[in-house]
Amino acid sequence: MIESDLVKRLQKGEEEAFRELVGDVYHEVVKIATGFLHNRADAEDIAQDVMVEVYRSIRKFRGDASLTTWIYRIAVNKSLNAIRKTKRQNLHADVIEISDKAVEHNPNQETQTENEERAKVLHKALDALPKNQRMAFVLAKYEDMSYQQIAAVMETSLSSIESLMHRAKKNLQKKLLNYYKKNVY
Amino acid sequence: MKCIDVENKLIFYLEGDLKTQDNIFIEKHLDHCGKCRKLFDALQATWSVMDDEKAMTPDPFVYNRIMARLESSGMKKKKAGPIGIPRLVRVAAIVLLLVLAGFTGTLLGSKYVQNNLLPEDLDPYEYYAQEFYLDSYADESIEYYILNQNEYEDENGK
Repeated sequence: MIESDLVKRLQKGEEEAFRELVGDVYHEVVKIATGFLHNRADAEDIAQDVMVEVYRSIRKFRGDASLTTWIYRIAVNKSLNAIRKTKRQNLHADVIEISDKAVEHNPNQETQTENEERAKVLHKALDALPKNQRMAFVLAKYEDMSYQQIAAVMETSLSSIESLMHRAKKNLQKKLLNYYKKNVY
Repeated sequence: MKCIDVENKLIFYLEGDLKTQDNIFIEKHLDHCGKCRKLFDALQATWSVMDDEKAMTPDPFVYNRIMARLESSGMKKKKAGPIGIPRLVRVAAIVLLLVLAGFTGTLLGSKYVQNNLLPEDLDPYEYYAQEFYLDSYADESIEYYILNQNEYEDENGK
């Protein structure tokens, strides 16, 4: 289906067109929200909110960006708002500090599965990234978007995205390797 | 290549961002440096968490959930039933049908009762008593009747 046709049908209020759109983008939106929120239930909640917002605002869509770019932008904004509301950023201040505390205060840590621990460490490292680096990284790694597509979603240049991605990876590497050196070896 | 140089490039090696020459140096280093190998393995394992998180099981009820959310938020009116009749009209039609059914039932029942009416001046208990218990002729055999009749005539000199 050509996107412009779908947009026209959506703007006419065709329910079948909306059903098609949900089928096409819902899971992609969940992936993006998962990258930010690290929780599937919260991500599904955000994704449904995004689809409701799309249904409500589709008449305002002017076609300056592609429909999916517009939807992914809504998904990023809603995810960031959700993080702001729950003050997650304040809870996950620094991956190494918190992880060290976890080692000291949680006697059951040994019983946690390795995957859970890895996920926890990764999430804290991601949450500690500056906002733009995190946006770029989540869109690239959770949604497998090209740097060009990310640039469209974030309304910036390709070179800015390349720079953001490079810095994001550097920062993640630093935090993760520091954690491994202190807690694993 | 020293360990610190490898560590600084591990994530880019993992992501396939390095030039061929750097890739070869790092591969060789990892082959003989156990410490860097362990760090790389840990990094790789952590990186794979993202792939696990991206794995999705399609939810067949997503569309219905979104529709329910739209309806509850008042952005979308509830569907008017399978043939497009508004809900209020459907309810009114059902009520009308029930009233009509009750009325028809009463009418048919009253006609039935009229056809089987008892005599107006007869008490129903008396009627049933006569009809089923006191009319002994109904149960009397013809032989017994003739015998009784003969006895009656003899007694009365007929």
